Amino acid sequence: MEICKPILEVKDLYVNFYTYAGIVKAIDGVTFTVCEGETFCLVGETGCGKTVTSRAITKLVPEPGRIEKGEIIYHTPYGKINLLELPEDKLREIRGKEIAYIFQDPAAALDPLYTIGYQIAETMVEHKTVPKWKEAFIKAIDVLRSVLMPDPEKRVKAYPHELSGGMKQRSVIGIGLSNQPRIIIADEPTSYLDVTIQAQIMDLLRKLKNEKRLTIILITHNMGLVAEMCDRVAVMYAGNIVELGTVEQVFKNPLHPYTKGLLRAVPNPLTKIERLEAIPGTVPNLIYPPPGCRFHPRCSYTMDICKREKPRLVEIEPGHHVACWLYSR
Amino acid sequence: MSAEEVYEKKLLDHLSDFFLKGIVKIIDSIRPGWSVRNKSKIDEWRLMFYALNRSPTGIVGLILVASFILIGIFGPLVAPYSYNDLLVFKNTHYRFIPPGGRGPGGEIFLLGTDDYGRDMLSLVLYGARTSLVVALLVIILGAPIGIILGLISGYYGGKIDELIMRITDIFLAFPGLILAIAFAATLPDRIRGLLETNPWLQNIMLSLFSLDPADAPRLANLLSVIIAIIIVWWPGYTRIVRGSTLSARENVYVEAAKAMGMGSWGIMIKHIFPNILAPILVILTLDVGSVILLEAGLSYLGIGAQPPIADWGRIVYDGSRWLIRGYWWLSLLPGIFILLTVLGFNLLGDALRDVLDPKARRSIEFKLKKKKR
Amino acid sequence: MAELKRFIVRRLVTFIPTLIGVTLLVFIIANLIPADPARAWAGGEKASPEVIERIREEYHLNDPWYVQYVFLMKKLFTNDIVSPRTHNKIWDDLIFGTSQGVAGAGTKYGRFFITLQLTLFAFLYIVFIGIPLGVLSALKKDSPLDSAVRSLALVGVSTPVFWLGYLLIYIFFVRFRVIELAGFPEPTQRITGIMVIDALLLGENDIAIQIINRLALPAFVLGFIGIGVIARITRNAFLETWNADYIEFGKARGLRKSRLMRHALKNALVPIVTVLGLQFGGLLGGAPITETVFGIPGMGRYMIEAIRNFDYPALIGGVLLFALIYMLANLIVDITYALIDPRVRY
Ligand SMILES: Nc1ncnc2c1ncn2[C@@H]1O[C@H](COP(=O)(O)OP(=O)(O)OP(=O)(O)O)[C@@H](O)[C@H]1O
Ligand code: SF4
Ligand SMILES: [Mg+2]
Repeated sequence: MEICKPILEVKDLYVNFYTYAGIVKAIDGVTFTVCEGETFCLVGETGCGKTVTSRAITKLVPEPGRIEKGEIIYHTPYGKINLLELPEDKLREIRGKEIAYIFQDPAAALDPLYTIGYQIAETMVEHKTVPKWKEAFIKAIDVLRSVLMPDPEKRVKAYPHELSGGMKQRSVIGIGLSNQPRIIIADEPTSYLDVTIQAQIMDLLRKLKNEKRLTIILITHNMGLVAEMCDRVAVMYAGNIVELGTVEQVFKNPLHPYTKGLLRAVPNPLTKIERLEAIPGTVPNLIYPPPGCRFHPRCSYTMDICKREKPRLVEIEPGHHVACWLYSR
Repeated sequence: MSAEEVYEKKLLDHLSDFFLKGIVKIIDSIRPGWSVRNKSKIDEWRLMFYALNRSPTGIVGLILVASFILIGIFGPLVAPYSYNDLLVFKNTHYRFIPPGGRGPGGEIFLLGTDDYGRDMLSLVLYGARTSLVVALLVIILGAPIGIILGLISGYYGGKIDELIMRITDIFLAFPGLILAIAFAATLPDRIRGLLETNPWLQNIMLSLFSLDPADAPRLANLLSVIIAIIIVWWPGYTRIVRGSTLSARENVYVEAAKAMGMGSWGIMIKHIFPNILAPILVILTLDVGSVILLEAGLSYLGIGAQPPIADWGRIVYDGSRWLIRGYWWLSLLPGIFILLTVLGFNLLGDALRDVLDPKARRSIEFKLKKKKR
Repeated sequence: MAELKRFIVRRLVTFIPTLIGVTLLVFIIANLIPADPARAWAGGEKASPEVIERIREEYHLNDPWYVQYVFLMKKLFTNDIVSPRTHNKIWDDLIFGTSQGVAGAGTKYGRFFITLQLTLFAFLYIVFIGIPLGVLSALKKDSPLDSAVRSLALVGVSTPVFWLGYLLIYIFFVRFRVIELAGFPEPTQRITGIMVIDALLLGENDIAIQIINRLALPAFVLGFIGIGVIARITRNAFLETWNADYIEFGKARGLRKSRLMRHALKNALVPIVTVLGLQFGGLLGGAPITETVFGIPGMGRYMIEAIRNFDYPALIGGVLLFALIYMLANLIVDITYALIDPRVRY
């Protein structure tokens, strides 16, 4: 295994949403490190907090959410900074330039009233990677070409509604890559696309990663994709990371009862995780989460301590972490 | 368990329960067993009232609207003077008595008197009747047109829908008030003829508006205004009903009713209409306000009620001549009554929109639940 | 852009049937509703039998209705109808201007231009007060300002325009004499048709100032309803777009706040423009009342004077003109819509 040169460290992150119904404790002490040049995956059922975690990295938690606690250490070539303490205007300069996003739903992420060329150019001009709009429009064609958009000279003048789903996603990826970021956070970049296009987009991401030595944080429902794309994977459950390790470690030797269930539940790794038939019970309500281990109401190994105390993430073998009382005391 | 037992109630809730029970009893006496069959519906209504009772704007609106209706009904009966009591002919000192001032005989005029020595309070009370009757007639005569055409248009679609929509387009191509002015100004000729040949209609109108028989010739203008407002009002209403019908038509139970061979009219009445009732009710409430405003505007322009008939818009116009002289109460005071009345309907409509929205109601339901003992 | 052209052509095609419908409705008002149209057109009760007979001939009132319709429209569109009251051709009174005005004084501007100017002023109030107020209340959601805007919208639509007018006249004229209510100055030459602009073009600044002074309050009164309505719509539209995914993505792209606002505002503009179009109709409809309150000799006032003097030709001309302007305004709204939103061009 390569030695890990950290580029991003998330430390003890807590995020709450203050809704009318009560306080949603969405992210409950998440810690992980992303190494430079790797593809790091976040997996878990719907609503477990993948999107919120990824957005919190650059402090993009939507109303009525609040980051309660934590540190996001970003390693620049010149030293470390805690993104959560950075003033808003400095943070803005990092978003989209050094840490870029690819959103889940490309159709909604693009402004319908502007051409995609404009939106790509805008992203570059705002970060001063290209000084003039005129130049930026010309560069936008190159950007589209690099994401394998067919007929980029023509598409650059197209409005989002004139493009197919796959082409919209390519445009969103193009926007993400336009400033040659160091980290790209791809939030289910293919969930709205059909299978063949999914494969093409994934090939594209892999190619870009190899060419540009990009660090990718990939969020997905899809265990097949994890196996195919990722170097390391973190499994999330109800706002916690329950297991973390290399893809080999987690797939060949799952430790956490939830991960085991997850892999059992998905005999075909290409299916989406919507509901886990193999694990009885439902995802807990995050306003009144179960005390102790949040998984205990659904776990078949539950012990007394599980209901009282929350298990911490501990390293069982080199690089393989799990948060479960079965493995620690 | 019925809603009655589960929720913590306030005084207003008891009042609305009382009101609802009365209505249910009436329906039950006509159709025995109705309340048992429609228990869930009645509970829903009860909740709606509870929700309304908890909306501050809704309560203010309700109070304003209720006072307007009460004044409209009983105003002319309790008014100290008639609308055509020109006290100035008794004694010229009855002119321009300011609000709260005393007449030559020592009597108090709460809202003052006008240039003819008419009691402003009485004028306002009679004027409420005029507004109320106009609004009611517009709604009673106009709403069925709007609802039926909208239902037909939305339910059948196709050519007939196209035709009805093109006709509404034509009416909506005019600014509302302008079209109303045109009709209200040209109709009286024919209406006068109609009234002369139908004395019964004339008599009904005289008593509805609480007018002196001597003012019968002036009815034609009032009726023209009502018809003019209906002409301007139905197209927008038809469009709203059509929109709601279109979405209600997609419902499963409509499909089911069709599959069971129910006729179109049956489906419209039994399945579609009850489902579009909520938006229709909201729009109607808001529209009563705009009808009153429109009528006041027409009368202000001299096209509606003719003097000495008491009409809020007309009173403001007649009084406005004296504004420059500083007799502000002749025009500014009656205007406040228009403002408050229309505001009442708008507040109530706004609150109803929230209350009739199931999502908003659920959150109220949530708050209302009695704490477990 | 080719699509835009196609869109406009298509929109114009649907314009024509509505236009025909509008003229038919005007015909109905003109000829079917008064018990005796000939008498009505001749000037009502006072008209002499000879005049009535002449009118009957002239308008073909003894022929079938479609002949009457064609002749009425022909006369209307060739400016061949004379008002029995002002003795001017109605389009001269309304649009082209006359050497002989109603009060005897000539005017280079038809009544329409006076109303247009008033309406444009009111429109400016709506746009420049209503929209910023809406954006502010969206940005400060649930603040006192937000509830104030909500109340303003409710009170606005509930206020009788004439009452508000008199209230302000009482305050600003009767109590503190800070406004003028009489006179209506005109620049010496008609250029664009909009008096203020003409006055400024001619360098007659004092006239421009007089006009602005004269219209500032009436235009505010006329626009008052619209200000609240537009503020409310803007607030809701802006809130919706401000929470949209593309704004979230804009933040993730590292756009500055001013750019994000631009994206949000442009998207919010789609519903705002629609409501602005409707408000324009409201302003036109409100013109007769506002002009009556403030004694402004516009086309609304012209219609009301016509009604009071049984001048049906002038009334019909006014109604038709109002409808044509409103239709044109709606056409402009639709085209603006297509300019803003590429999706509707199809
Ligand atoms: N705007 C919000 N308001 C209230 N709660 C929110 C909001 N956004 C997220 N949450 C809560 O945070 C939790 C995590 O949401 P998140 O979107 O991160 O899930 P996810 O893992 O990305 O799910 P998916 O796979 O469906 O995208 C959810 O349970 C949700 O209840
Ligand atoms: S901590 Fe206890 S409840 Fe949680 S997963 Fe492990 S065994 Fe199951
Ligand atoms: Mg997500």
